Amino acid sequence: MTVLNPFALNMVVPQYGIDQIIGITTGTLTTAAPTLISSPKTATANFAHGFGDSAYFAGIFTADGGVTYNDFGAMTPVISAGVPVFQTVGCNATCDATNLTITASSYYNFAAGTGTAATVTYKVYLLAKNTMSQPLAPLPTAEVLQYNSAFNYQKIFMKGTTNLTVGSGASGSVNILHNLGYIPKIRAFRIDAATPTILQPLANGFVSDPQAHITSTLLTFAADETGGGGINLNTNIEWRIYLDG
Amino acid sequence: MVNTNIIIAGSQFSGFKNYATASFSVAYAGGNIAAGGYVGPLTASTPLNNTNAVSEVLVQYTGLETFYRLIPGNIVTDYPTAGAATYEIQSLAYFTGGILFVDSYIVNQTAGVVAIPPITFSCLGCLGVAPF
Repeated sequence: MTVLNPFALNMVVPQYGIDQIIGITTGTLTTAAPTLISSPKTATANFAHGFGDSAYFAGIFTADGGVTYNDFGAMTPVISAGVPVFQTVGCNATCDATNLTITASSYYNFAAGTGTAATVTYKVYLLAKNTMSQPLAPLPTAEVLQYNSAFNYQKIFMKGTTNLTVGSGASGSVNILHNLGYIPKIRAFRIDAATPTILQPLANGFVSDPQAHITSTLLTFAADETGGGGINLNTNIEWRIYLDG
Repeated sequence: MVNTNIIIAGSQFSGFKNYATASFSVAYAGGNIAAGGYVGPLTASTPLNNTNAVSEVLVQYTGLETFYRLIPGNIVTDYPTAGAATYEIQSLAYFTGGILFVDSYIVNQTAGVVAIPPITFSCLGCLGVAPF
């Protein structure tokens, strides 16, 4: 487009949408000390978001007073004990139409024979979903501008919902063609048929969990239910593929 | 009232800002793992300051496959499948200080020796700022 009059009002009209952060919440949870037979010990908080619909979310947490933050779903392993311990202190969340439910977990250290209480401070942001009940009253955040050209916002290239059904004893996958020619950023959540009101992260660290696989042309959701822990998986995966690599 | 399918030019909403990306890797030369044994941690790391940011971490087991796996904290994969596994790879992504670590373990799933091919754990990390 040619700007004929540079003194006139000219608008930036983006070709791609970006994520819409519709709320944030922070808080602190303290678990009891786990024992060998009571591991993990958990503490839970409900944040009533008021959206009337579930929302996407992402969060970080610290278990050391703010020195280190980690993403929800991550745990810092203990490696020095000889046998690595993967389950330590973690934090995760699910979301339904009423609450974002945040759960902190402290696991017993089987290698060291110790269990300690954990104090976890979390920060979570909530995102509008691909389709969402409206009207929606977003919660105020510290940001006064939605868009600041000093930053590179993740631009939504494609979005959708894909069902992944894999029977116990089988493996399966579904492909989404994006053809970007490079490895894009993605975001994905699952809503299981058995719990259709609860939106949760894609995976929790089990072999049977659905995984997201990405190439320069495809996004694939795959599940391996052939092992002893295999389940009858029936889940709707809500996904976004971003233009950003 | 808000239509969540379009961009609203105003306050209250804010996007997710990319501000740092990194590519890093660690190589495993391949070898035999005895029954009940494992190899690891095979650690790939890179400096990334994630205060007030949320990460996205991908790993490709180069040599085994040509796609990247999203690591939502921790992923576990059996080869060739869980029902006929000869070995298992677990990858964990976490931060300590301003360093992003991806630790991977290869675990023998059989009662005998398992030969593991050379694998490069190729990782992509991205940080996005949220208005916490």
